Amino acid sequence: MMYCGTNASQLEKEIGLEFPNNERFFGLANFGNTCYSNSVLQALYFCKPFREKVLEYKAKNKRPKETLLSCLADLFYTITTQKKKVGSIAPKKFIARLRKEKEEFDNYLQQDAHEFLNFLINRINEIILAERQSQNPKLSKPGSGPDLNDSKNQEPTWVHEIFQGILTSETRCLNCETVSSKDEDFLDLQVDIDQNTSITHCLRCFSNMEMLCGDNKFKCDNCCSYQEAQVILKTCSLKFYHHNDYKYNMTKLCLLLQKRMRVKKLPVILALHLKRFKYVEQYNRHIKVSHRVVFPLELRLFNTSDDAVNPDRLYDLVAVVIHCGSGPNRGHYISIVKSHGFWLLFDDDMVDKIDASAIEDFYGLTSNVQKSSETGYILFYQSKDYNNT
Amino acid sequence: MASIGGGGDAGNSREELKSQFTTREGTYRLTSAVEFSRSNRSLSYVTNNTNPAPGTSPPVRLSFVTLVGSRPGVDVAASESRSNSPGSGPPETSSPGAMTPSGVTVISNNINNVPVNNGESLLMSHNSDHHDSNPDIYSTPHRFCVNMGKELYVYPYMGCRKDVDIISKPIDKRVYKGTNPTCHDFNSLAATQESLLLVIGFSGGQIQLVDPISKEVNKLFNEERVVDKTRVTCIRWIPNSLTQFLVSHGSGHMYLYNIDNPSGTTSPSYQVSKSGPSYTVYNCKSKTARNPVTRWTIGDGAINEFAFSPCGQFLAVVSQDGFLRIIRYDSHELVGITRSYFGGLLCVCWSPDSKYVCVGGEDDLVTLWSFKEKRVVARGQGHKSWVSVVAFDPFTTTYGDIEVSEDCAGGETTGNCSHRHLSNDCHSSGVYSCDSVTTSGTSCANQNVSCSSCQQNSVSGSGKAVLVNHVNNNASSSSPPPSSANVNNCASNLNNVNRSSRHSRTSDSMRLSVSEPQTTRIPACYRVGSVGQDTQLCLWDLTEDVLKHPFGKSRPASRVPVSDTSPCIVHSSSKICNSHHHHQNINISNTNMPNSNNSIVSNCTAVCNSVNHPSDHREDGEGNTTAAVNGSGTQTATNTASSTSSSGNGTSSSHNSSSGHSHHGILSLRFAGALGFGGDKEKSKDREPGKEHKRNFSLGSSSKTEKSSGSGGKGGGPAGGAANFLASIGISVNLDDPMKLIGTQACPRLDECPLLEPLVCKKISHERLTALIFREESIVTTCQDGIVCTWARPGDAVSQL
Amino acid sequence: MTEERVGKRKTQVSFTIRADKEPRHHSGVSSIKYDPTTDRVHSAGRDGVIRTWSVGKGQIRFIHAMEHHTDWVNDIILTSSGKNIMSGSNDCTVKLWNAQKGFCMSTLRTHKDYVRALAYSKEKEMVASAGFDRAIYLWDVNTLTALTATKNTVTTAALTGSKNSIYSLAMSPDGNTLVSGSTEKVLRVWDTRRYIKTMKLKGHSDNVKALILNWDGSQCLSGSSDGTIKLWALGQQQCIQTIRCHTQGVWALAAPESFQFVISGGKDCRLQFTDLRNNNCHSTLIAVESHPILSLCLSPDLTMIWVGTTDSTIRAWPLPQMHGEGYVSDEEYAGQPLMEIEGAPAIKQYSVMSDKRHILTKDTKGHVQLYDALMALKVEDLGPADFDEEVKKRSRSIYVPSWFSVGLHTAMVTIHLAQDENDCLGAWVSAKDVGLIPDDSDQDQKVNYGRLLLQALFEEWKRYSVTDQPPLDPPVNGFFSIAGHTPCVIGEQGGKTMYRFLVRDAGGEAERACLSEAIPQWVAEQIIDDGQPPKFIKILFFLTPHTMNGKSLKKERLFANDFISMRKVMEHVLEKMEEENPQSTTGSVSGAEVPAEERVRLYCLDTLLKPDMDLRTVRHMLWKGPGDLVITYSIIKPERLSL
Repeated sequence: MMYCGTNASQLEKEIGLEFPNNERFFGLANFGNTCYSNSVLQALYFCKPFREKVLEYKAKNKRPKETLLSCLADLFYTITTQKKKVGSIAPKKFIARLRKEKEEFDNYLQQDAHEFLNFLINRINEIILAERQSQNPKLSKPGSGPDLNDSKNQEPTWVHEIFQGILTSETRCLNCETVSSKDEDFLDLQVDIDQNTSITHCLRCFSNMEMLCGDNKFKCDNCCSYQEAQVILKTCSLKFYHHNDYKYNMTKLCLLLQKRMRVKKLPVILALHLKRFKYVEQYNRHIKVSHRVVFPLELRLFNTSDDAVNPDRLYDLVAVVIHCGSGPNRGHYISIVKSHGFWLLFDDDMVDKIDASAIEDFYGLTSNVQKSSETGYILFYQSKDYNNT
Repeated sequence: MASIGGGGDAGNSREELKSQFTTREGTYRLTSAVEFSRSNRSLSYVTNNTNPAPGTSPPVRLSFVTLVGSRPGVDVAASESRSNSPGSGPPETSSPGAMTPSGVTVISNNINNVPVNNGESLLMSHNSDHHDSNPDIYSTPHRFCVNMGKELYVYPYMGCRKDVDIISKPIDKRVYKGTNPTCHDFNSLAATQESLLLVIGFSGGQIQLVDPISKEVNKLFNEERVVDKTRVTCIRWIPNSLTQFLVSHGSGHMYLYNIDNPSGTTSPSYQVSKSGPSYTVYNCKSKTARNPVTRWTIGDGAINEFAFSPCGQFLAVVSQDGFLRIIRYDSHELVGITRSYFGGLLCVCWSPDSKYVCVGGEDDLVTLWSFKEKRVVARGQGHKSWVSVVAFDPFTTTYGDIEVSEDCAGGETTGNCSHRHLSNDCHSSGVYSCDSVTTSGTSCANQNVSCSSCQQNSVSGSGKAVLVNHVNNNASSSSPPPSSANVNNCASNLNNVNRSSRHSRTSDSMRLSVSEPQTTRIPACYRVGSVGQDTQLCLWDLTEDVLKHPFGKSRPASRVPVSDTSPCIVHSSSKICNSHHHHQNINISNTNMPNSNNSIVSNCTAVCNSVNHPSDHREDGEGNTTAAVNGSGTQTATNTASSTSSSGNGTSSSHNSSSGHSHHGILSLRFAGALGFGGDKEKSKDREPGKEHKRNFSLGSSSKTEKSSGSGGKGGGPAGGAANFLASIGISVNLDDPMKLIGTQACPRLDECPLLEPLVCKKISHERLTALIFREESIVTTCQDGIVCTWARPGDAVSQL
Repeated sequence: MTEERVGKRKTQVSFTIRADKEPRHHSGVSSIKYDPTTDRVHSAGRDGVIRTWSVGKGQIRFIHAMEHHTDWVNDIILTSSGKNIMSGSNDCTVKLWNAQKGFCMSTLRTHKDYVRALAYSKEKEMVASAGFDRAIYLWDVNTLTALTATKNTVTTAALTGSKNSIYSLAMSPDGNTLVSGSTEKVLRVWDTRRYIKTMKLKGHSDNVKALILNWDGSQCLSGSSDGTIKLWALGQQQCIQTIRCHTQGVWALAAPESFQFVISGGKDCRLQFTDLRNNNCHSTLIAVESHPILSLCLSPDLTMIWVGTTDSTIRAWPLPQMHGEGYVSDEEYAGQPLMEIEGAPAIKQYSVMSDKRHILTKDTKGHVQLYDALMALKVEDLGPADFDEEVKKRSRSIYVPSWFSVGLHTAMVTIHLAQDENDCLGAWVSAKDVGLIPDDSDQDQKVNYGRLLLQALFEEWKRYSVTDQPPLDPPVNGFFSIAGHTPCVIGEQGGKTMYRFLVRDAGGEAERACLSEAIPQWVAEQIIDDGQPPKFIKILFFLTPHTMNGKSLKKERLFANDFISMRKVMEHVLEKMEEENPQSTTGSVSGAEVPAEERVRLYCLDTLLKPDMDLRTVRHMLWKGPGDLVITYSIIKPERLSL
């Protein structure tokens, strides 16, 4: 099942003395168009908070029922316990389980890496919640004190702690200048992109500020009147829960938040999905948008909400899932990750060390001509202070 | 999952490009767009290019130079006609047909295909018409160099007045193989009709020195890449040097080369000569002189750009680690530091008066940092992507009595810019003649200070500046005009300059109110331009009211005046008017001011000065030799070594630690207050100059044990105390932890300093923009496609339409 | 988000419940103008009324109220040396008034959205108006005052090109320079002679809400929602001073023409005095108002400043006076206002009672009042009571469809009647139940609230509508009339006013003509034709026997008027039982006499239904959810009954 990639020893040589202890760089074999999974798995593996939690899960659950999470934990564990420092491995069990769990993935077609990421994160969350409930059977009994039930059962999982955030849409009456806001939770941010921009700009997107005016005036409670208002819709006002202080409830989330039962915190991992596949009516299909969107190695968010706990949080780019090709259902996914200060490119079972300046190649194309491109598709930014906390 | 809109429609057809934009001074129009790339693409050698992706080829950059001693009659005449007929609009000297009706002309370049010469390590080919066959090189004293992919061209620059057809003949063209030119710089001292010195840096780390005209010089440095293997990111001649240049690399190192030194064949070994927080300077350990002379290790990650201050004293370095570091060049001391909001800083430039440093970077912001206050004073948000070039426009910048309130003045004063950039502007180095201009209000209360450096690389040094300046200003005359003439000149202009000068660029249609006291005082306004990967050109006006904005969140300021008294420096500057063509500054009311300083200079160490107000410098340089001698005491030895200055006042370069120099020290008011002079100041509404200076002097002597980089308020801190320095600018944390910097004056939060919107923000290209140069008559931009655009300033293009 | 409405908006009829005379402002005062020739103060209120006060010799006397606007008056200008007033309002009109006598001379309906700001040039007698429709119109006052009934056309010049709604305007005294401030965050400077924009001044980071120009138009002061005041030199196209003395948006500015100082106020309630004579721009706090400051007006002698806030009281504060070098104010602040024009409280909160007729309101003083929407009157003043408690006390488990909506935009109760989600004609009730017919009366009838009200509002109109017959006697609707002073408005929903009249005036000749044009068809149908009363609202529901295991055997599908009572349903059940099973009832001789409610029990979702509950109440109060209402029944066995 395991074999050494042809480039493995070369990579080891290249890294040489700098090779970090306790780190393994293993490619993942492709089982027929499974690069969408391989690329995301590599990116997640090198998101340290995520890897640590998965390995922790592995350590805590010696004999788990087979789930997608247990398969993922096994895979990560296998990588970390390899004798060799480099090589490749076949995520056979994981892929098999994945195909079993979701029929959309049960084929040999190319899949969307973002859909896979989305599915994986949500499924892991469900698995954790289900196991929590089964370990604590009294919680699952209906009608046994709903308050207790909620608080225990709805406590956020580590998936939430790592990935979840809240978007705010703020409405400001232009007459009395009072602001009201509405929140919406997310696990990753899907970002519309524009030619020759930066990811920062796409997140900031002032263009999305909506003016309620003319026939669409805002009924301001304070003014008791219809007035013009600005809605900063889905601006990246990221507010994050602190897990000790909030009760997680999908349906009543907004309500709870408005009652200030939250302490905001920026996320540990900020996953940004660049919306590069756009449906074009003319062609009756999705086409790839190869716009050049630069993403810095370091990111801090503009427009965090005033009451966020840690609005100054700085992020480092740790992984990028890259789409190569001309359309959503053809082409290839690879990923680049940062590990111990240098960058590695994972292309299924191949692993290469690359120069940080080579990341420039994945920003996209400045020409609008439809052609194949290698472009950043999902960006993983990790909080700089993760290790400090 | 949440979705964030990004604005525009992804599949949009290309936005239309703008061919003009309007500012308060009028409308700028695109007069020529010369494309170097497309016509060349068909050439066969391009197909050999192993690296065709635009994303990976180095940015297209421009270097300009103006020939020394060949002051172009055209230019002089043009500028004179303008200045003598104030407000009368554009010059008469424009060539007919300079611009096509559309305003855009793309000229095909009919350079012959040249086979690649495989013989050299930097494989390249050459093609240049003999310059005799190119008549344009006689009609313009301007030359520029542009790199595109593997190619490098040198052309005569015709500006916006000349028919662009002429651009089709380059003076020199080179094609390289295996490595790409990344940056270049002309030596402005050595620029003549017959000879140019051009240093070129390459993507492989190599450096080449060529003479694109005489072809007699061709030297390679770091040829075997033993010094540094990473790409050259920036290359600049040391101000006023004919032999030394500084090179920065992707590795985070900078090297000083001397063109006379032999290159060693082996890897050089170094010894530490100076180290400070996150930077180290090494000397090359070698028995005989060799290159590199010194190595600098700065920060963490690539150095992206550096720039010498117009006064020649300071070096601003921006790096991928997000830091801007200001280093006193001669002493290698760190005197200022600031950080991007996030991500690498990509570009840097100095204000013409050396008071502000502007940076742009991966945070999409344009950030203005005050040298004096050691803090970020404003940020500009308008670019949609990374900012690739920032530049001050010296021709539209006005200098007011920018002074900071006590609250925000930096605790210490550093810097010792003993010579005004205005006098030692590019004339002295011949980079570009700038017969500009100063406008002074009738009351002399306003200060439209003339500008000077038109390129940030056109720095020149120090001491000799004043006199050299005279020489150049008078075209071929070698003797400075008598001062009285200047006075007269100035005086005669007083009544109309303000209104009329094209450089004040006030729209004619606007009324100038003279009835109110406030209006006669033209406040300072620095014009900054920036271009970015978003293909946009942005112009920013940094007005006095913004610059005076105190650090921190806006809070109720009732009964707290925004700024209090204006210190002496302001006062003096406000009394200065500048003559039009001579760059002398006639000190009308304050001629005794330098004297008052001189008397005390000997007692002072070099502590109590800072980047000085340009007009202040000019003053003593012009009228008062004694002051100049003392005042320019702290010069860089290396800088002045090659100077053939006849002035003699600036070259007395003893080391700054011992040379007295305080004649125009701007003191931190906080410091002054701490020493008991605060009370003095409070009532000094009369702004009596002598009083102010006395105060300054006292401060200077009280802190004479400090070196110039020493911290201010600590009193007697050891020289070069980095921690002290950092503490003094509000940084008491480890620089490795940028998280701790946020909220300090070095990296304020977004709401802690003014966030400006651009005055102009226009998409002018389809490819990302890579160069921006402000010239007297135009703005020049370039993009990665290699299209060089000339934007005529208001008035210049109108006559041609 | 709100979807964009297409086409013409629906027309609604609105009226305000108020006293005949309302001498005091009810809401914010958005503009104040001082007339030095008469020592009068004119103040424009958000209650839609412009009021005039005599303030000479420190005595305050109410002179008159100018009532014609139907929404906030945002700005007023005193023209023609105090003879006329121009006003701009949220009702999208600009009006010209005779300031001395207080009547409306003409109404300009050129604007298509709220008129937010006016500006005036003394030398040219020119007024500029601007608002949310992004257009600026220039009006020649002399032409406007000369308008007569026959010569009633007026031309205007428009300055167009603004990209955003305009919130502020200023014109130089010579009328040549106009500056507009908007959410575009820039100041646009216009040349009114050439009708072009001469420049844009950038610098503010938020909406520009206040502007003034100095005497020669060379300098401009702007106040912005970004909390700063900026002084601009128009000649240099440059900001020469930024004054930061407010913590929140600056909404109002006042300065003498020479610009030696500026007084500012805004959201932070602070009244600031800033000396502009040198570059220091020293600011002094002269007062802290209780509410955000909306308007400022300097007295001609510069000794005091009139301040209007979002509250209805107007105060005049003393100004610092020049002493030698600087301005000195005697007391730093906390000084007492020199004069005060007290306003009335504003209604800020309301709750419609479950009978959909009574409305509880709470005003800014905490007083709770009870209004009757049907009769258009205030029923009771409960004084300072607990609003929520009173609401709870009055809530009953009945359901009546909503048939009107309430607006508080003028700080008084305005009732809107329309045909939208609250169908004006959707509420049928029993006249007896709602007290229109005495309880002991034998007869009862179903009445429609909306129809009754419309008939009462247009009573005068209807009385005289048939001209060849003697007028009908009130009350025309047979039950009640409405106070004649009640202002009634026909207008677009949430927008333009088409016609305003007082209930008592609707019969006048001119009014009748106007009304005939303005009155919407659906309203006219209810008044004139007297023919088709509105249709009853029907509810579909299922009736099924109650079973122990919860499974229903069979469902009967029924369709009934929404106001039928459960008693009727019970009767229906019994009738049906008798039809199906005649023998079961024959056993009980007294079956016919025993009321249905004692023989049948109805349930909705396990709740026992009371016999006088109506169908719509069951549907809304108990069933709640979507899907068709299901009512289960069980028959009480006669044997048990006999016990």
